[in-house]
Amino acid sequence: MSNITETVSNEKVAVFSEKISAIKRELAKDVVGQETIIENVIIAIVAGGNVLLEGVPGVGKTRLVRSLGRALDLPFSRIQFTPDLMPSDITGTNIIEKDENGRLNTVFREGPIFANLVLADEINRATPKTQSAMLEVMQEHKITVGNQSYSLAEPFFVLATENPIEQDGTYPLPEAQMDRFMFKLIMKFPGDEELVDIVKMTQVTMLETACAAISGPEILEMRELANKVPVTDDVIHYAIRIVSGTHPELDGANGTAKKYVKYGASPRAAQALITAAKVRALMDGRYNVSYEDINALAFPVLRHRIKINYTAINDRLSVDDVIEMILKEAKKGR
Amino acid sequence: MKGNFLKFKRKLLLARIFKSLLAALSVGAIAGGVCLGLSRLAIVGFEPMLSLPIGAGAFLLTFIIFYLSLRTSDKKLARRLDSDFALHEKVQTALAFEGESGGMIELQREDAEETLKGIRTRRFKVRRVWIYVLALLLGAAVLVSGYLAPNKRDYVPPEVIVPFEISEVQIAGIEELIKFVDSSQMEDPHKTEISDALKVLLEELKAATTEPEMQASLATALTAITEATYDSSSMTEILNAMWNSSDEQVRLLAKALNTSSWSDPDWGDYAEKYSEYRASFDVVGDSDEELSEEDKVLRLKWMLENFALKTGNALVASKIPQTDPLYTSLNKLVSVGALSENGDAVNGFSAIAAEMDGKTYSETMSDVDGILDIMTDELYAVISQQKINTNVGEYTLKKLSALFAVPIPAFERPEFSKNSESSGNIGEDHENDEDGPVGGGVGEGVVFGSDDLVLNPLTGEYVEYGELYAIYNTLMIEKLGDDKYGYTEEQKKAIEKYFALLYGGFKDEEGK
Repeated sequence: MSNITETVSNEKVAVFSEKISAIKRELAKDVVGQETIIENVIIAIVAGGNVLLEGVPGVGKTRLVRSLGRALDLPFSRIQFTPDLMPSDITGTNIIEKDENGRLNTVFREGPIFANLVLADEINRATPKTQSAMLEVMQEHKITVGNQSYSLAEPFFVLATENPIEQDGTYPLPEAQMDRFMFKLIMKFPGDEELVDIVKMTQVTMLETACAAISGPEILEMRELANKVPVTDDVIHYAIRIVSGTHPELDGANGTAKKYVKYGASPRAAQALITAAKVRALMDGRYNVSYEDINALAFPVLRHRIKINYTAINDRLSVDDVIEMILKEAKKGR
Repeated sequence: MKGNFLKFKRKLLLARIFKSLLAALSVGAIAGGVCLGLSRLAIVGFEPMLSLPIGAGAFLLTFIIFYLSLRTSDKKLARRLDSDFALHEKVQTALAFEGESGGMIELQREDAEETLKGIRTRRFKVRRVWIYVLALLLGAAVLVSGYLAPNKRDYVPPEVIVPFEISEVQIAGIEELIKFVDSSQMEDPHKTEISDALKVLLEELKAATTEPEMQASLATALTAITEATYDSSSMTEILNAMWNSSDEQVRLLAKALNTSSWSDPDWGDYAEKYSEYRASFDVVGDSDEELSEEDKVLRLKWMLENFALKTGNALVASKIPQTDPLYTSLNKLVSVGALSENGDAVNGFSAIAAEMDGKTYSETMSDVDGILDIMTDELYAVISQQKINTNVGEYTLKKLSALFAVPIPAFERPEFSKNSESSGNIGEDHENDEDGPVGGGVGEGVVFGSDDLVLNPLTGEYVEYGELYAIYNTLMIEKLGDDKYGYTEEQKKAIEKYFALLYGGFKDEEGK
């Protein structure tokens, strides 16, 4: 165990809160509004999860991630996903290089994935083959080229964006890859006042101005600290009940799930819920996870992990609507 | 955390006791009230007081049940605290990790403790108290209803007022009675009292519209007539007192004067019994004993003194005023004496006894016979008048009783008869005399009862024998009292004796 696990003090918690505030403060320089999105992104980063940002073009998805890359004092790389993007374009590849002695050697040239913070822009525009290259990276934080595996530096995050419209020339993300995103966040179109602020801000400069607010080791410390937040069995069972409740095939399935869900969330969803809830609790200045944390995080955690059926579509229900119904049923059994 | 958590736990315990009490009171009141109501309404057989232990039992049982069922675990309390005060599961978490240590856990525990410390127990509301208060109000309502439920055990059904309207027959009957009383030989003021009572009764009954009014008027009239009748005769009181005397001669005189026994031929008439009484002064009698003149005188003197003394005592014991005719007559006999037909003063027994010195037995007996002769008629007249008074009053009462179908108590008579030698109850003769002045009579060889129908020659209708007798008796009394008919005293006595015979009846050869 590290020192952090042994000695937790109010000061450390205060530092945690201060760091979160600093990130938020820096991001606010470049991103107008979207407080919930920013908060959830920070939660995912502290919890060590990947985030899929979905939104129509121009709502600031890429800007948010780029700004985040500046706020986190970490190596940042951006990958623009296109249909002709190859896996090696992401992971890197072995090349033949002549050394000083004139001998030819095979040398591994790292791809853009070798960074702490990776922006996978418009990830659904790459082919499934290329997208598959992200699976190992996102889950195990390592890549394998040939017979050689390469670990990525910690902390490592993938922040992907996708456009819900303009579906031509896009490839839906496979379920396995979707499951590797801790959150799927939907960036809404900004309100009028926010839009005014955005317009004014970009009249000054189009470049992000956020400064580094936190380092990689600090993020790891914060993650360690968050992991210590106690969670009662009741809250854990509640989270599990929600996740299990999304599976229509289970005996104890939620009524809503039986009616509207085609496929339920994986166990990773339960893990993500609890892990993220711990961070959220600390961010809220609490030392324990509450039901409210679970409820608040259920949407970003579950919305990309469950697949609604035709009945739900026919009833004009969105995934979030179904999740809300599942939560209501789960609360009854609390 | 313990202390801050315990303060809520204590409050919850108090709330639990409070709720249990309210629930127990409610159920107790409902159970008691229902039982009380059912009992008072006579739906169940037990006594209303039994609802008290039933209510108490329900109270105890409910208290125990609620006290046990309202138990709350620490976990539930923690959950409730988190929920009520939006503590984000701080208390639940602290409780769940109570036995564990670790930096973050201890921080969390401190945080929870601080949070709880800042919450005053008064903010911790006792839930759903209104339900218990409502139940208590319901219980109180049921209990009060049970208490106010009409107690059918003590229920007195409302008096049904029966309408009343006097009939023509009743009016005629009362009018006849008034004529009868007014024309009777009953003494005043008793006659007037009875007549007035009947007149008032008639007016009241004509105005009466309900049965209770009729009964009230009738009761008043019956009381007035009864009192007037009793006041009109001292015979019962004086003769009873004399009969209770230890002296045989006093008892013999009482027996002679008892008109209630005259109706029985075996009992004998007044003259016969008076003779028997007179004979008791014959100190010689049929005795074989040879008495000297001196002994006879002494014995006679003793007898006279003793008779005078005992009769005087009896008169005092009767509590009848000295102005009463019977009292006066008896007092003359035993004490003050009387005037003879010639106007000579004749001594009473006490004076005779006092003046016996120097007189022979025969001379003294002559004096005794003298006063006895004088008083024979006077006593008979007094007794007869009192008998007439009583008979008129009693007849009036019986007639009213028959007219309105109301019972009247048996009329008091001297409490002795020929078969009751010692003082005691009314004898057979008295029982035979229940019909009063109209008891039995003689027709042409046929024995009639008082309620047998006979032809009334005055109207050509069949009426009860007793009623016809009363009519004839009234006519007889009227005519005997009227000088224009020119009856001699002897004839009058004979007629009266005849009517007395008709009144009392007699027994035929078969003893009927």
